[in-house]
Amino acid sequence: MSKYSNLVNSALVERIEEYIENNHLVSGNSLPPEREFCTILNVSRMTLRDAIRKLCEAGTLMNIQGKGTFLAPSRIIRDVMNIHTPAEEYYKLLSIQKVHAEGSINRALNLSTHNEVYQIKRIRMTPSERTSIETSYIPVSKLKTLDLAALETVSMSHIYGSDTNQKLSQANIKISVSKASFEESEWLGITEGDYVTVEKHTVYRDELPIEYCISVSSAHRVKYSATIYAE
Amino acid sequence: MKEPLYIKTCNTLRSQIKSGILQYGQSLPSERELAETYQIDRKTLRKAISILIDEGLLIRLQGKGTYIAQQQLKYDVQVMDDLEQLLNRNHVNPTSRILYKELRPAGLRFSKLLGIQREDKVLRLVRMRLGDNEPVALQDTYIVYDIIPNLDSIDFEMYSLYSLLENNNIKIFKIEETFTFIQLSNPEARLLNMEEGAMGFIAEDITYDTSGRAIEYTKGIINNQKLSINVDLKYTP
Repeated sequence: MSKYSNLVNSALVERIEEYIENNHLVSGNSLPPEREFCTILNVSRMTLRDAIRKLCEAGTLMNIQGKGTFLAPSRIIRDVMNIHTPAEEYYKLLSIQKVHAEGSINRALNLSTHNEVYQIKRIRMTPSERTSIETSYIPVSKLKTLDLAALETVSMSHIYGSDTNQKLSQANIKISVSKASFEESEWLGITEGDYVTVEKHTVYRDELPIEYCISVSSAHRVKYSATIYAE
Repeated sequence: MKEPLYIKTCNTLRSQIKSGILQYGQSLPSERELAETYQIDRKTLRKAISILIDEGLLIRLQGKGTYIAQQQLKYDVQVMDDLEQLLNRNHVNPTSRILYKELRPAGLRFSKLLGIQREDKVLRLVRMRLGDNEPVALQDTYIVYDIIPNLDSIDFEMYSLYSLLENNNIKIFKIEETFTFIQLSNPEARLLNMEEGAMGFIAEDITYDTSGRAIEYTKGIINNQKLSINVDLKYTP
């Protein structure tokens, strides 16, 4: 083996994956206790722990202190090529207010100072968990009427889409990582300082930005997906 | 709700970096200086700085201090290209180092991902991808062996898979890609010149050709300080 053997050795990881498959283990099921599993796989504890760590990092397994190793729940998949909300997620409106835009919000929306924007805070969720906290900023001048009922169910792009009957022309999404603030951690049911992904969406209509949205999700719960086709 | 102080500090420092008041190559002013300037305690300041390190805007060099990081390159999701083309587009010199190469049976996991039999052969390549000689990504690639004759004799430090496909008249139809963020551990972190526990992201992709068959699967561990995920969408009227 080369000097990278620790990096490239995946044989045990693959055997554990086969064990999971052959025993039809699904999210929430546990692996056998460490000692027993070592015997089954005929490896040392150290070797097993290293492979389990790799599978935890990959999001396949999770360790629960004092309880053992379990099959992790699958991540929530966000299709970045299609920013409309998939059917299984919905929204709960937290607050809506008019604020004076400043700093990065002003820059993103291409506004001069002292413009009023709607700040709309919503929780995005599935029937079983809260997935994201989203804060949207929309210039007041761009949105004549606000359909509060719609805010509960659909993504913002639907709302101004129906408000003005005009189509969106482009969108930009930037995804980075940060640590949860106290407020975010409370809404997402995680610990303050836990890693979160931060999606920054800017949505354009007729080449002009009409919405800037910051969406924060627990980093180990989301997975972003995209399918790119050749031209 | 009022913004916590460390977030305010974060925002201020971030906009100073983005606007160029603080530039790549400069070191961040000392903790004492910053704490005085922003009238905050050091604990709050450290919290703000650690977030900016995670975001890839600052970089901590062991024993030297905290510096403004080089601007991240956009990992443009909507563009169909490989890492080499991405770096070239950004005028960064791409190189590749093969850490490991093996011809092996696909096995359960990769037979499923690639839609082949478990005993079918795949060529596994573990590559370090560098840009201007600095580590950008660590890629673990599994290529279906029989797509190109004598695949295992090809020098992948010299030739990219894309150029080989083109040369063999294999046209790519689509790429399915996913991204997750993880905390890096060793040896991966060390190889990417990052601190253990720093955040990186994993890009996994499967490439399909026009006949619908899968060609390769790659899992790339990406240095968050070098690349940041960006998507530009255009809607046709």
